[in-house]
Amino acid sequence: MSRPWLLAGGMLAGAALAVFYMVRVPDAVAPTEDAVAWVNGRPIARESYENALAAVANDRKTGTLLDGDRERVLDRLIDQELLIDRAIELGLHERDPQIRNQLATAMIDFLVRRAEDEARAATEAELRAFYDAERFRFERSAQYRIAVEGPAVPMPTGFLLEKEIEQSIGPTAARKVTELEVGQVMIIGEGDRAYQVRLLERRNGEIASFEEARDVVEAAYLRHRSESAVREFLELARQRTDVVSELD
Amino acid sequence: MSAAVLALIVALLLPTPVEAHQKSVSYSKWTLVDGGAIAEVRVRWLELTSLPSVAEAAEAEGGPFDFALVFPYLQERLTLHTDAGPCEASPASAVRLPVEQGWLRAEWRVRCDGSPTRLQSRLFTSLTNHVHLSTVLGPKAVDVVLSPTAPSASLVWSDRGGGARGIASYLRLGVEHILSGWDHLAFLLLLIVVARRLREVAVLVTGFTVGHSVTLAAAALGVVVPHVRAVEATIAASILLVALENANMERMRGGGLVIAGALAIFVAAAAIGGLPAFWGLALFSGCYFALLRRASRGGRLRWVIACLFGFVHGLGFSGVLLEQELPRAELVRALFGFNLGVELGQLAVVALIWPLLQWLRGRNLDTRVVDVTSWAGAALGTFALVLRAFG
Repeated sequence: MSRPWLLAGGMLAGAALAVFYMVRVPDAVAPTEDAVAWVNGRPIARESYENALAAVANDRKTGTLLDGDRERVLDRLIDQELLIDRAIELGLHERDPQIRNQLATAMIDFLVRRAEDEARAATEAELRAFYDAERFRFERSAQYRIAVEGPAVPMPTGFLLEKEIEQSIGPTAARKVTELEVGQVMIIGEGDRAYQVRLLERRNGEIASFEEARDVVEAAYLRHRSESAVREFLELARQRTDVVSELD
Repeated sequence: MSAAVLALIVALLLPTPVEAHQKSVSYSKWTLVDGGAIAEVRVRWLELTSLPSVAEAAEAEGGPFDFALVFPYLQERLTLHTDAGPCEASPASAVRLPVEQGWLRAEWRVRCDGSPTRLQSRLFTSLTNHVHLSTVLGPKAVDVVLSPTAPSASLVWSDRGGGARGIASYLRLGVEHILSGWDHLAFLLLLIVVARRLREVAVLVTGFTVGHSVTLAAAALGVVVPHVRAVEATIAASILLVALENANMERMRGGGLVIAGALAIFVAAAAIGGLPAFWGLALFSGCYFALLRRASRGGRLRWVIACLFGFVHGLGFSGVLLEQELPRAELVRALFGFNLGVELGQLAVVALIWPLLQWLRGRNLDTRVVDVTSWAGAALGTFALVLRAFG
């Protein structure tokens, strides 16, 4: 290829590169097909409309809609959009503390709900990985079988958790009991009211197997994901936002 | 050479607003309601603070600049009229609306005795290039463009004549835009100053017109979104490039160094100024000047430059229309009127300059004119480019 053609090609490539960075094609807005109306180009989703209709029908004794209900419900939804438009235009979301709180709460709810939906679809492998990483969460507490001798102290029989022992003899004494060796005795109280507690048997705490703890693992995984979602969003938002604190 | 130095000094001393070819603009939207209208107005704080009356009132108050001081000014200077007289503004209805930094957006109600027939703006009368763009939403939407030279416009609601009137106001805006845009005019002047025949001028102006019409339409209709800073900087670069070409830099002794200097600014604009479009512009310009060296007649490639940079100038023109956020139906009409205005303004400039150039040519001063305009263009282009890319 001759040099002029190469230079012409260079010009073309340069122009193309400049154009690439100088203009962009606007982001395409995904068309919402499932809309019952449009307000200022924004859709009112059919789902919102159906939910509102269902609520109206539930309020009726007959449980059915009357003539004109559909039109009225759509009118109310359109009114709501117009009011929200105006509220945003007036900047109420920036000035009214109540609206700001509700917005913040709604945003947290949204993040939590989305994270929970994702967590519910978690695979077996994901749940197992979470169980392995967070084993300490699924540890069963130690249990004790004790005998009380002396004045009548109401004490359930069988193996008890430390918390159950606490309810009968108080937290300090219960903690001391958990520190006893099997067969060892300790005296609690003084004089006529003193009684002795003997540790008969101890079952040490152990981690439940995945299969045994599956329901607990799923619940913990759900909670963990929703908490992480809010935390991750806020961390990312802080990184992307110029936040300046005037406090020391 | 002395003329060139003089031109350079004059160019650098010119108090030209090189930051961007941005007019002083304010906006309003009037929604007609029973018994009156709701006015929504957008003005720049910078222009408000330059008003002596507002600045004095703020000083007398002793506190920071206050919206309450500005509001009476806006209500008094921007008025809707009926046949019976001006509509009465209600100060108590004033609300300050949220808006981007640097702007004030306010809304108030006016009471009218009858149907509004005229809109008047006496905003910022001391700024001769101030334009007030307004849309009145009545039985149908009516767009008006007001300026110190045409501060009042009739509101015509019927279809007959209304469309033409709307186009006429955008046509005037287009003419004012090109005539007050030093960068577009400088580029145009540099394009035609070396032309020897009217046919050459016609080809160059047509190339420029085709280029800017295409991108003006594409940007105004939302087909593409321009990167404003890159566009403004490239417009400055276009002046520099054509000036260097006019000065025959690619053949002149030491001219290679000047071209290399220009390319170095482009590369710096890309690397330091954060304008990656300038990587492309540097490649384009390097190849263009290399090609010019080989071409027997450089003028043969000029229409390409006119057309290609016309694309970029068109993106610059679109800013005025984009700022208005017109409804799509209005946009097509506004686009047509505005583009027509730009063309008419452009033709008026050519019609004025071409005979002058011919006259100078008749006195054998054409070489000197080309030298002076080239050096001045190169200085202005560089100055504007540096400010727009790094400022």
